[in-house]
Formats: sequence, C-alpha cells, structure tokens
Amino acid sequence: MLNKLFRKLNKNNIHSSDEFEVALSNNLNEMVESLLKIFGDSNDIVQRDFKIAKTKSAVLFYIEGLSDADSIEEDVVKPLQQIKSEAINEQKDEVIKQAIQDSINLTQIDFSANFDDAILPFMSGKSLLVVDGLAKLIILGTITYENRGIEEPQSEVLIRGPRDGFIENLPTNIVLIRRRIRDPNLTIQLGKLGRRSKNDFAIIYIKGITDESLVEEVRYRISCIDRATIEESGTIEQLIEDNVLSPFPQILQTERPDKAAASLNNGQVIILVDGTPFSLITPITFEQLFKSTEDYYDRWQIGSLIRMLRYSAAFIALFLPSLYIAMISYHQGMIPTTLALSIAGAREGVPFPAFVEALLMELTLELLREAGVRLPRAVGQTIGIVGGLVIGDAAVRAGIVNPIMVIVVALTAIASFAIPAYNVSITLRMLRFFLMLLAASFGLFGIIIAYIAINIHLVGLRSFGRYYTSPFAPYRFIDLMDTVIRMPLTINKKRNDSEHTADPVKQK
Amino acid sequence: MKSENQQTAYQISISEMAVSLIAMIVGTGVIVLPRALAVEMNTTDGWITVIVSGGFVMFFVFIITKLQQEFPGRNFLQFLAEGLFGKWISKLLAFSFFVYFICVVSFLSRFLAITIDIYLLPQTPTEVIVMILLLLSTYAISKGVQGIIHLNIMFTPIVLSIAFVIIIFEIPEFDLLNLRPIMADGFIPLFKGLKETMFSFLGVEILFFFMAYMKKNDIRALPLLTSIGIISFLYFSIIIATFAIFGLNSTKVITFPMIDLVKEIDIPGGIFERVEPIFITIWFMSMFNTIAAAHFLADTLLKKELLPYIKGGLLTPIAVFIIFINTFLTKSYTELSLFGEWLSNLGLINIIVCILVVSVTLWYRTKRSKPSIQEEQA
Repeated sequence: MLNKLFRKLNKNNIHSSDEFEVALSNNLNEMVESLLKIFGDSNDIVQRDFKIAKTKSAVLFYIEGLSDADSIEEDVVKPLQQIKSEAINEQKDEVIKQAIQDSINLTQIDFSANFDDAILPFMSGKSLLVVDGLAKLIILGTITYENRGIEEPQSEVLIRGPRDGFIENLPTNIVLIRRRIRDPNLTIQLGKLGRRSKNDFAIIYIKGITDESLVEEVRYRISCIDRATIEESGTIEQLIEDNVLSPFPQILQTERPDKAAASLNNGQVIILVDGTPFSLITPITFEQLFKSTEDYYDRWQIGSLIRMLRYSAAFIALFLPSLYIAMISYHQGMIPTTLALSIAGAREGVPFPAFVEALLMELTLELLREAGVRLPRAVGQTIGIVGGLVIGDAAVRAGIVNPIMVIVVALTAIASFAIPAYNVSITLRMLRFFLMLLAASFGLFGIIIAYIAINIHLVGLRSFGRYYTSPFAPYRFIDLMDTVIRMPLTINKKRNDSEHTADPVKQK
Repeated sequence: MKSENQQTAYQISISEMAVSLIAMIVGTGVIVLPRALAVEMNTTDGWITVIVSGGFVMFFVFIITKLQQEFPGRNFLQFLAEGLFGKWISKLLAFSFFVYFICVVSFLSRFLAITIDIYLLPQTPTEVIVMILLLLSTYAISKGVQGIIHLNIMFTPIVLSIAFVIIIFEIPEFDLLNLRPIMADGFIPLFKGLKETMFSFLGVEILFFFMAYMKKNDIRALPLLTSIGIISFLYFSIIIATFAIFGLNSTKVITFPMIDLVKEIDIPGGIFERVEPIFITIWFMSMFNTIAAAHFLADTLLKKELLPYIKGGLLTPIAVFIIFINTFLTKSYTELSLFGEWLSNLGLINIIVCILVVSVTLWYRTKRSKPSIQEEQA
C-alpha cells in the first residue's frame, strides 16, 4: 500500500532526453558550431585549433582538468602536426582514419558516427577531435584523475590488518579488489547510473561462488533506479533495499578492500560507485553486523572473545538504560538491598522520575556525540571533555541526575562505540529510546515486549530475499560456529549461508 | 516482488519442526504441573507419571508422523476434505480446532495477565496487558508460517537453557528424602495423575497443520520424539525439584510452584536480589510462542477452512476481538483453572478424533484404490 502511495507521489514526466538530433557533416565549421551548441555556455571547455601536416585544419575539444592537457599536446597535437604522410590529403575516409590512428600515441581511439555516442565520453574526460573533410567524431582516451592517496579508512580502524582503504575513484577501487583476488572468475560489470550525473558503478562478484539469480536480482534492482543524480553509494542502498521502513540496515557498507574481498569469497555481491569510498555488500544477515575482518586475522580465541564482547556491547547499548528505568520504577525488589539503599540515597535530591532523568542524560550524550563529529578534530576532543566531565559532574551536583545514571549513560555510550559498523550503532540508539519509553510504561514486561517485537520484525526482514536472522533462524549449524564464538578456521570450512552459494566449501 | 514468492515457498526443516514442537508444548505446564499433580495424586510419584505419559505422547507423535508421510504437502484437514463425506467432517473438525485455538489463546493470555499482575505490574490493569499481548501476537501472525516457526526456534533455546540452569542452581537445596516413599499407594495414583500430565503435553496438535509445510523426505519421527523426550525430562526435573525442595504438603498449596522455586535461588555474587521477575520475563517468551502459534492456526483455520469466501482483512480483527472478550469471561484464577480443564479435555478429544478419523479415511481410501490398481494390472 505504501509502495503504491510512493509510486503515485513519484510519478512525474521523464525530462527531455539528451539525444541530439543533429547530423554530422564533413564541413569543419558546421561541426564546430553544432558541438559548441551542445556544450552550451560552459567556459571550461577548451577548443584547440591546429593544422594536420600544416595543411588540413582540425579542432580538438577537451574539458580542463578532466583531460590530461600535457598528454594531448604531446601525444595528439604534436604527432598530427608533424605527420608526413600524403594520405591525409586524400578524399577517402578510411585512409584518413588510418593515417590519424597511426600517428596518435594513445591506447584508446574511437570513431563515432553520431553525437550521442561521443558526448558522454567527452563529459567523462575524453577529448573530441574533429578533422575537416571527415564526417566522424574522433574520441581520444585522455582521461586523467585528481586522486587522493590510498589511506587507512577512518570509519573502520583495525589494529591488525591491511592499512589500505577505498578512495573516491572507481578504477583504483577495482584494482584494490583485483589485487586481492587474482581469479579470472572475478567478474566486474560496469554501468552508468543517474539520468544526469551518469555515475560509473560496478557490480562485482565471483562467478562460480555467487548464486547467479542473486546477481540477476541485484542487476535488476539497480536497473530500476531512475534518478537524476547518484550522490553516494548510500543513495543506491536506499533505493534497492528490501524494506524501507526497517531501522536495520539490509546492505552493509565498507571502506576496506580486504572486507570486500572476504565478502566476495563468501558469495556476496559488491557494488562500487564512483565518487565514494563506501562500497556496498549484499546480501547480509544480522550477525554480519557484528563481524569485523579482524576477527579472522587474530587467533580464534581472541576473535571469539572480541565477538562475545561485541554482542554484550550490543546488549548493553540496547537494554541498559531501559533496564535501569524498569528496575528503579517498577522492580526495586530486584536490586540488592545495599545498592538499592545507596541508589535511593543518591536519588533523594533528584526531582524527576527515572525515565525523565535517563532521557535527559541520553539526549545530552547524543548531542555531545553529534557535536563531536561535526567539530574540527582538536576541538572535538575538548567538547568530549567539557561534555563528559563538566556536564556529567555538574548535573550530579546540581541534583538533576544521580551518579548511577551517569554511569549507566557512560556505559551505554562506550558500548555503542564497540560495534564495528557505524550505522548499526545508530540503529541501536534509535531502538534504545523506544525501549526506554516502553520500560517507563510497563517495566520489564515492556522490555520483553519490545524485544519480541524487534524479533518479529527481524524474522520478517529479508536482505535480497535471504532471511535476515540466519543462521539463528533458520538454523544453519555450521554457520553458528562463526557467530558469537568464532571457531578455529579448520572447523569453519564452509562459506556463510552455504546453501545459497554455488560452491559451498572455501577451505579443504 | 521476488522475496514474497520465496516466503510462500518456505519449507520447515525437521530440526525446526522439532524445536517448534517444544516451543508449543512448553507453556503453562512448567509453572503449574507440580501442584496439579500433588493435588490429584496425593503422593510425590508425579515424576513416574510424567515419564509414562511422555511415552504415550511419543506414540501419538509417531502415529501422526506416519500418517503425514502418506500425504505430504497437505495438512490433516485438507486430506480429509478430499472425500465427499470427509469434507463435512473436516469442516466440523476445523470448527472444533478453531474454537480450541481461540480458547487456548484466551486461556494463556489470561494466565499470563494474572502472573504478570502478581509478579511484575501490580497496578497496571489486566486489560491493558492482554491488549498489548494480543497486538503483539497479531503482529507476529502477520509474518506467516515462516515468521512463527522462526520465532519459535529463536526463543526456545534461550527458554530451555534458562529453565535447566535454574534447576541446576536448585540442586544444593534438594532434600531427596521428600520424594520418599516411592509408590507407597501402589499404581492407582499414577493413573489419576495421567490425565493431568497428558494435559501438559497438549500442543502436539500443531503437527496436524505445520507438517504440511515440510518436504516429503524430511518427515521423520525421531527428531520429534527427541523433543518430546526433552520436554518429558524438563517436566521430570521440575517435578523432582519442586517435591525435593517443598515437600508434598507445601506443594499442594503453592499456586505457581516453579516461580517459588526461582525465588529460592541465590545468585552467586548477589547481582540480583530477586530473580523471579527475570524468570517470568524469559518464560514470557515461551508463552508468547505458544500464543502466537495458536493464534496463527486459529486465524488460518478461520480464513482458509471456515470462511474462505470472505475476502479482505476483516477476519483477523474479528478473531482478535473474540479472543479478547473470551479472555475476560473467566473471573478468577479458580474459574480459569476450570476453564483450562475443559479446554484440555477438548484438546485431547480433538487430537484423538483427528487421528482416528484420518487413519480410518486413509485405510478406506487405500483399500478402495488397491483393487482398482490390481484390475488395471490384470
């Protein structure tokens, strides 16, 4: 029903397409005029006039910055000017084309018979050569990139593991994956997205491991996207996910090539988009939100311990404030007597009920966290100190909250940072407030109601048609060895969700 | 929508079915069985009865599996409905089961509401608790068979392990002398308790309906028998623990023996002063599984068997409303116990009649079809 509504709201006319109904001519001036008309009023388009072999005039167009100007001068213009062949003055198209192709020192030279095929490459950084007497557009591969270096990703820091991360450039990112999996079956399918932005994207999978129907589904969903611009991979994520209303991410994102390579090896599909370091991994299950590649690099005892810590962190981040509220407001009998007395003593001067107290502190903390992210790094730390120490201490002394509440909030905050994926900790944050509200209304009963409701939601959730709660439900006993506890690599010989992969065994 | 197709093509594996069986059966029995046995039998021999009736139930489950193997992909009522006369019997049975499941949901909701009222939320109106509960279970049934089964298999391991941990924590308090004398009054009390213990195994009837979602070669009896064995062991240990700690006479007067058992626990380190709120919360998950499964079956029976010609989403809310009203027909815990007893009788009759009718039909149909095959061959 909601889908119908959305479809109605989104219904609009497709804007005028970018097809140019102009025929090519062999008159140089006419060609230049039509091209200039297409390019419009942009001033960054460079027009370079020169003469081939000092007789035949030619014009070269390129976009400043997108194309390599030095290479154009060295490998295109100079050789053409110094061409000695007499062939250039002949009337036959084929001969001229051959002569040009022979003299230019570039790997990519295409001849296009219409404007449509030539404009998109030109807009991506290739240059266009128009020669008098030749009714063809010559597309030259002169693309250059302004790249930042490959650095360690900031959103996923590891202690042990490779230090490289994806960058904003698609070819570089593909290379980073190719270098890890030197298998001819590694399939990289490129495409363009966005009616206006024409972003490059790549669907990457390993043939023979990934289920073909899954790749087909990914391709289908992406092909359904009809949007003017694709700003980031997050845009694609939101447009192809299964359930828009769910707070849980159904597609994982990573900046780490090693994680991407490991996912490919598990039969998952990677989607890379030009212009962002975040790649998308799909399909995922709930337990993968708590996995980090580091778990596999360390020995299994360490990996298992960290996994258990992470699961308890998730539990604390989700339940601790609501448990506090429930116990203080409804089930005081559960708290050990001495502790109950000291809490009662501490809460004596606090004028608010536990829920208001908790809400106040949680909101303050969320504010501090958001402010800390936005501010410059040096100032951000100061905010942490000011917020954490000064506000916490002052709030206690002022009698707004009690010290135990501060401990609860601090623990919750620390726990939510222990989860490897940033967006998952936000999911837990959102659910935490929902749980706090229920705990304030119904105590422990409210908490278990919320827990069951979350579980009901999760069993109904799919990620590209796969059960989100697998391997907990449906049971996959072998995969269960790699969830809360990571068994030694010699035991985990199968790929995750091996039923759906074409080749279930990853290690002999 | 490809994912929706996959959902309807869902097939229950045998391990999931076995766990769901545990989830469906374990419910109120855990809480009240020892007292019911103590009152009924007046001896501490309840644990023998549990083992015996566990054996009986295993026999039932074995028969049901054998029958189901004859018509995989259809449930018992659908199989009956294929005949001319069977159509009416299946309608009748469907109605009987519908009433039964509706009453099960009401009974369990009322029971839960009473426990929660006593131990968790003394000031919250029972109506509110039941309302939230029914809302939640309606949400659960909206996820279909797959949702119900997956919920079962996610909660049951937690509930079972907590139950066994509690019993292990009780061991230091055991006074096994309380269990003696064994069989002092002979065999007669054992038979008296048999009905009560059979009641605590009700829930087997989900097999009639859920086994239709299984693959043919997946339908095996052994895993299901194992889960009956696990439940028997759970009941057995709870009865032993209750009698060993409280003795016969105090068990007779304790309303919820299991919860009182939990009260006896000393958590090492003293993190919690009292644990029974936590126990009730976790046991709630098990109760919820039972409620959701029964609610789901009532809902599907109503939609698919009884009133298949009424389209639209009206039937579910009506069913929920009936359940809600039905929940508050019983006024006190005593009335609720009486209601529970009637309900258990109805359930037992339903199961036995269903098994009998289906066996007879199967026997009749094979007998009728065999001569024709022989004729063809001749």
